[in-house]
Amino acid sequence: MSSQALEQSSAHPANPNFQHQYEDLQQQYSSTTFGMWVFLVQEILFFGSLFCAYAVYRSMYPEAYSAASHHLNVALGTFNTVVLIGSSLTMALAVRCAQLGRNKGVFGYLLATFMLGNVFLGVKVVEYSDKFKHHLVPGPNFAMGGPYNEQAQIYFSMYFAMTGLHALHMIIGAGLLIFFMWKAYNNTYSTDFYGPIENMGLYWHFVDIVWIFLFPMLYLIH
Amino acid sequence: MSEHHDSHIAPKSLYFTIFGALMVLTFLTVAAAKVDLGRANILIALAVAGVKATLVILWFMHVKHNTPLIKLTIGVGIVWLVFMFAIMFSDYLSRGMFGWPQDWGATGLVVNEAPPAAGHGEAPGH
Repeated sequence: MSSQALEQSSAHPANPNFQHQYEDLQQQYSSTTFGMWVFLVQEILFFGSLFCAYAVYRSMYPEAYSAASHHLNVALGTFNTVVLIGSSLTMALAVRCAQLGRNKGVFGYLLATFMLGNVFLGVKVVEYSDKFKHHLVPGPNFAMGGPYNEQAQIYFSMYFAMTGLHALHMIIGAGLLIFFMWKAYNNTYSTDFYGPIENMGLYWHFVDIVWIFLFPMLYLIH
Repeated sequence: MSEHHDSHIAPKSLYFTIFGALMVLTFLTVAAAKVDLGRANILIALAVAGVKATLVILWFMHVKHNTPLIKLTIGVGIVWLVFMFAIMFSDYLSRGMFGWPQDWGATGLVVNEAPPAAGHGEAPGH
């Protein structure tokens, strides 16, 4: 560590959120944000492999995909898209409050994001139970009917794998939101330290982007 | 640190504007899906989704005003995603493109016929 860096780190001795392995809060911020983006690049490829599998089977069985996608409820899908983009708005506003050091605002907007996320998951429960009721879950009880009954199971396998993995990310995100609400309640964030809320926002917006692609690919393209 | 980032705190109105644009695009894509345009339906749906994702990335995720390192990182992620699709589809879409031996069956994708009689499956020239 250079002498200049030593001076810099001694300039931030008081902030309890400063971690000693960094030279200063600025470096801590840029390092953690970079780390979050590297994680998200991994997530892009993680979901990307499923999108790729979806596209390959779609190119093989376009008629079966078309027939099967008509069994999805476009109204519920549109409603969930609005809800999730709304939760991205409240998340962005929570990050803005964190940048301004307003912990009460962070708490309120995170709570709103949490509620909207739960509305999304609630609608997903309704949709999933509907698929079970109508025998649209791949397996021995699958009975969509029509000439593409067998191949349509591939579509519904992709549907459950992709929306299921997306919902799992939402559930993990909801848990993280509770944690950050607790931190904001304890006045953790300030104009000098808001990186964790920014990273929470990046995660939530990423999950929103995945849905932005899932919605047209599963519900709209026949 | 605050002196580096204060200038990037966007006004509330920006976030509401982006939200409004995302809503308009959502209803646009739902409306477009109700009209049968053949293959153009897929292109429109994916193009609208791409625009929506770009809006979220640039403004909600603050990439517009971020460091070159962060922009490069995202670019790398997208490039690898394109590689994955390009290599995967260069395989699947080119199968059978140049013909295949008669005893491979009617399609290059699915081979579920009985194995050929002895002597048939050998290399060309026999």
